[in-house]
Amino acid sequence: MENRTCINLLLTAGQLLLESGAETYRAEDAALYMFKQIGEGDINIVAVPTMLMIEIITPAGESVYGCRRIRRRSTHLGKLAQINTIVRRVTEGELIAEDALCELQAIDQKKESAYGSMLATAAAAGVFALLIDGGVVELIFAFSCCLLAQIASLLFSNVSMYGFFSSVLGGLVPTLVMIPACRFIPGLDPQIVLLGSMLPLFPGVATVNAIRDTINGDLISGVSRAAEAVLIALGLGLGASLVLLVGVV
Amino acid sequence: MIYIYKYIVCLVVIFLVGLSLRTKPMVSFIAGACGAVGYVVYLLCPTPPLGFLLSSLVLALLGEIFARVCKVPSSIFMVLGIYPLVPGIALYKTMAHAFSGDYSQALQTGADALIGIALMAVSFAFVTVSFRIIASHRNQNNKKQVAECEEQDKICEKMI
Repeated sequence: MENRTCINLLLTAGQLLLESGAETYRAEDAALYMFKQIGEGDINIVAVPTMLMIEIITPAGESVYGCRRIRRRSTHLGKLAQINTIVRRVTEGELIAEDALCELQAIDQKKESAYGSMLATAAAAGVFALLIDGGVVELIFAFSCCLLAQIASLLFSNVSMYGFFSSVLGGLVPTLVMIPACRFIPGLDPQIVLLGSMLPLFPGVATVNAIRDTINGDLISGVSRAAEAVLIALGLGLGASLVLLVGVV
Repeated sequence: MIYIYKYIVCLVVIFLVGLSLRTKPMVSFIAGACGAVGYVVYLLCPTPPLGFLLSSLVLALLGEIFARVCKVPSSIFMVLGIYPLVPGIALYKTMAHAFSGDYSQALQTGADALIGIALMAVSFAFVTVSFRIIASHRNQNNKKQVAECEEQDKICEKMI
């Protein structure tokens, strides 16, 4: 029983970490450090971006095994920090396993409205247009294009191919808006608006993490993250060129 | 003057991205201040590859330091800090060139993208590994001190 709670805690913490976009070594380390504090015996942890497996070998020689499938991966830095705090408290012995498990489940079930985050994303896209030498007009267009693209991708939020579709739409929607806009507003630089409005979607983080993982020796997660990054870039490129490919212009 | 303007705009971008990824406002402001330093370093460098290398070195250093100050994962600072450098832009441009049939341009941008991203990853890995080595040394020293104290205690007990 004791071991079941322990392995449940380790699995939940690792799963939540991976789902909020932590590196795989962070999930493994978190489980390992907590086990050193609350468990006894030996432990084997394997984390890849789509799965987490943990085996505990008790001092009596029995082995307790658990595994979780990770279906949804997003970047949620707020959750990451909260889980990190809980892991730190367990590691320092301030929190017992049962309480930690309850707190983790509370974090998992907390619903947050998507609108605030969408507005902040669009605002970031707008200001980024300023950073790459755009003016106020580009700022407004980048803001509205990014907002439109996000609203459009909400349609696909329950589909398993959400990541790919949202990047295709992230490329497609700004292009569709910019083609007529450029005809009516002469001084507008479409390139700056396109790059600005795609800022939240560029797979920069995924690529850097992929190479970091590979350098770290986590070959499987490195390769799978690289595949994810290439897929996102493919989606963006496809979305932006779709209009040209179909020949609407 | 232009660098101060870029610094402030970049800080705002990172702050907003931080909010959109639901970081606490205070943390994302600090991340913005760190990340903007990295961006200005990138602008000051003569060539893009050198810029990627040095700016991500600065970013990773500041990130590791402030992660320990604020007690949050260092990857929060790194993830937010590399947003304005957007190594992903080159990757997207590669795909866009390939789709429009311009394969030689696609290959060239692709190679640039790979080199830039690899350089960033190398400097991130370098900083992370050196911080880990420092931390493990510190732990060993602590353990040694604890062990020495215990030995002294035993000696004291025997003497009594």
